[in-house]
Amino acid sequence: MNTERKTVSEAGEADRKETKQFRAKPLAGADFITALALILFGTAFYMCASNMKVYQLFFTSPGFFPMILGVLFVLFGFVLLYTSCKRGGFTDAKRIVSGSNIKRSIASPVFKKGGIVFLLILGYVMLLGKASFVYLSMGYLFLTLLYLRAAKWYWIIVISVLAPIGIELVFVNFFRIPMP
Amino acid sequence: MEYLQHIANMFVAMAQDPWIIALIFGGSIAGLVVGVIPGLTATMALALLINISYGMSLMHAVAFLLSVYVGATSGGLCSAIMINIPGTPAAAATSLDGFPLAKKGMGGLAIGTGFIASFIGTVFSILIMLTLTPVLYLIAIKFGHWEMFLLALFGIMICGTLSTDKDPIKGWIVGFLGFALSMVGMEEIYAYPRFAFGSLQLKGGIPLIATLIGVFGISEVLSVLQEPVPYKIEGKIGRVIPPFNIFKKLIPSTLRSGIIGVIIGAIPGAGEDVGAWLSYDMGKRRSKDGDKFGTGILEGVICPEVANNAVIGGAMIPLLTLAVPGSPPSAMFLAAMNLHGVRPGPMLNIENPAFLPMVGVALMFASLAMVFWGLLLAKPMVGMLKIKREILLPLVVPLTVIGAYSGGIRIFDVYLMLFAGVIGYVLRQMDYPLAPLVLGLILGPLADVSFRQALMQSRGMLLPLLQRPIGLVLMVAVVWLIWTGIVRARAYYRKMDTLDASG
Repeated sequence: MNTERKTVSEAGEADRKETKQFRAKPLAGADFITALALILFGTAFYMCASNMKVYQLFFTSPGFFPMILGVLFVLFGFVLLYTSCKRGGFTDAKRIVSGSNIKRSIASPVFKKGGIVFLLILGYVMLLGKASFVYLSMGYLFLTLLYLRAAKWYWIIVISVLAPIGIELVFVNFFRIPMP
Repeated sequence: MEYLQHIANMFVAMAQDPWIIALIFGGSIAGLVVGVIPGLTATMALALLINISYGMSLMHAVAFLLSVYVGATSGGLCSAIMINIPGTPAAAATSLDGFPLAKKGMGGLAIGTGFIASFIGTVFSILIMLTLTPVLYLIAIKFGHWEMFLLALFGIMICGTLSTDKDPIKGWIVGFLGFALSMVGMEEIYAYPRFAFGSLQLKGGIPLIATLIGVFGISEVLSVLQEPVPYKIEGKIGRVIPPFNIFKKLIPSTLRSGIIGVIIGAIPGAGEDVGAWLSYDMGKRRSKDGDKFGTGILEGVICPEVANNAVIGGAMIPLLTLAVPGSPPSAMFLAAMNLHGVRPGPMLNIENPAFLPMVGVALMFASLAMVFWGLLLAKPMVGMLKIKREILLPLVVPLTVIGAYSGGIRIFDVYLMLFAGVIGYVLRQMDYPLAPLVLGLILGPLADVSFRQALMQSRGMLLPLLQRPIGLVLMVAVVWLIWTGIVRARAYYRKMDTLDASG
C-alpha cells in the first residue's frame, strides 16, 4: 500500500516538474530559434533591398520601404531573443535541436501522421499538370483516406472515385471553372 | 434621399432576381455546412468557394460570397453547443454556456436561440453600416498618403495586438511578415521588380487568393488531421425554436453585444472571435445573471452570437471606406471584389455609388437565409457532425487546388498555396496568429506606396507630415499600441513566471 502511494506521489511530482518546465518555457526554445531566423532574414532582406536601384530620391526608391522592414525584423529578432533567453530559451533550443529530441519527434505518431498527410498533399500538388486532375485526385483521396482509415475500404473506393468526378462536373460544367 | 432610393432599388433588383435568391440560399447553406464542421472556418469557406464567383456578375458574386460569410460565421454554433468544439473560432465563446445547455437536453433551444441572435446581430450591424459608411466616406476622402500609410501601420499593429491573447509582439512580427511578402513583385511607382530573383512568375507578385487559401485552408487541414479529437454528441437536440419572450427580456444584452460586435468589426483585422469573447466577458460582468454565466443560460449564448455576427457589418465599414478589411473573411471578400474590378476605398462612393447599398441588401437577404436554414435544418446539421473529419478534410484539398489555380490559371499559384500552407502551419504550431499575416499582405502595397509618396510630397522632410491632424491622431494611436503591447507582453511573461514559482 505504502509503495503504491509512493509511486503515485512520485508520478505526481514528475508531472508537476514537467508542467513547471513547460510553463517556464512557453515555446522559449522555438522562440530562440525564430529570433535567430528573424535576424538572419531581416539582414538578408535589408541587403537585397539596399541593392535595389535608386531613381530620383533615396526615400522614394523601390528598396526604401523593404529596407525599413529589414531593420524592423532584426529589431524584433533581438527583442524575441532577449525574452526567450530570459525564459531559458537557449537551453531549450539546444534540447530541441539535439539528435535525441529530433529522433524522438520524428518517431512520434503525431509527427508521422502529419508528415505523411503532408507528403501525400505534396505529391498530389507536384503531379498536377502532369496527369489528369480527376485521376490524380482519385489517387490522392484513395491513398489519404486509406492511410487515415477514414472508412471501410469499399467506401473509400466509392468516395475517392465519385468525389473528383463530382467536383469536375460541377466546377467545369456548372461554374465554368478550368481544372488544373 | 438619393441614398435611400439606391437601397430601395437594390432591394427590388435583388428580390426580383430568382438567380440571386438561389445563390443567397445556396451560399448560405454552403457556409452553414462549412461552419458546422469543426476546423473549417468562415475564411476557409470563402477561400474554397471564391472561385465559384469568378464567372458571376458583380451583384451575383457579392450576394453569394456574403451569404457564405454570414452562414459560415453562424454555423459554428451547432458544434460548439452539441460537442463543445466550436465549428469556427467565432463560436468558441458560445460553447461556454451552449454545451452545458446541451447536457441539460436544451441543445436545440440553444441552437435556435443562437441562430436568431446571429440574425439580430447581422441586421443590427447592417443598419449601423448603412448609416455610418456614407459619413465615413466624407472623412476618408480627407486621408492623404501619410494618413493612409499610418492607417495601414495602425491596422497591422492593432490586428497583431488583438489576435493573440499572449504576446502582441508575435502578432506584430507576423503582420510585418505579411508586409514583407507583399513586397515581392513589381512595385507600383517605378514598376521595379523586387525580390523576384529573376522569376517571371514572382514578378507578378504573391497572389493574394492562393496565399489566403494556403494559410487558412492547407494549414487547417494539416493541423486538424494531425491531432484526432474524438467527440460525441451530448444529449438529444430537442425543441429548436425558442419562445419570443427570451429576447424581450434580453434586449439590453443584445443591444450591448451588437454595439461591441460592430466596434470590434470596424477595428482592422480583429475578427469575429474577438467580438464574441469581449461580448461574453462584458455580458458576464454587466448582466443581472452574470454569476450564472458558464452554467448553461441562454444569455451566455446570445451575447457571443449577436456580437460575432455584428462583426460582419462592422468589418465592412473600414473595408468599404478605406479598403482595410475588418476581419480575415472580409479580407477574402476584398480579394474577390478586386477580381471583379471593384476598388473599395475613399473613392468607391463616387466610382460605384450602388456598391454600399448592394452590400447592405445582400447581407440582409443573407441573414434571412441563414436564420431560415438554421432553424429548419438544425437537426440534420447536428447529424452532420457524425461524419468523420478524416473523410471531410482530405476532400477539401482538391477544392483548395482548384481555388488557387483558377485565380491565375497557373500551376505556380498552387505551389505557392502549398508553401503558404506550410508557413501557416508552422506559425500555428508556434502560437503566432494568422490574421495579421493576411492583413499585412493586403495592406503592404498601400503602406509602401503611401509612405514613399508622402515623403515625395514633403521632399523627404518629416516635420510637415507631423503637422497633419488626422495623421497625428493615428500616430498617437500607433505609439499607444506599441506601449500597451509591450506592457501586455511583460505582464504575460511575469504571470507565467509567477505561475511557475507557485508550481
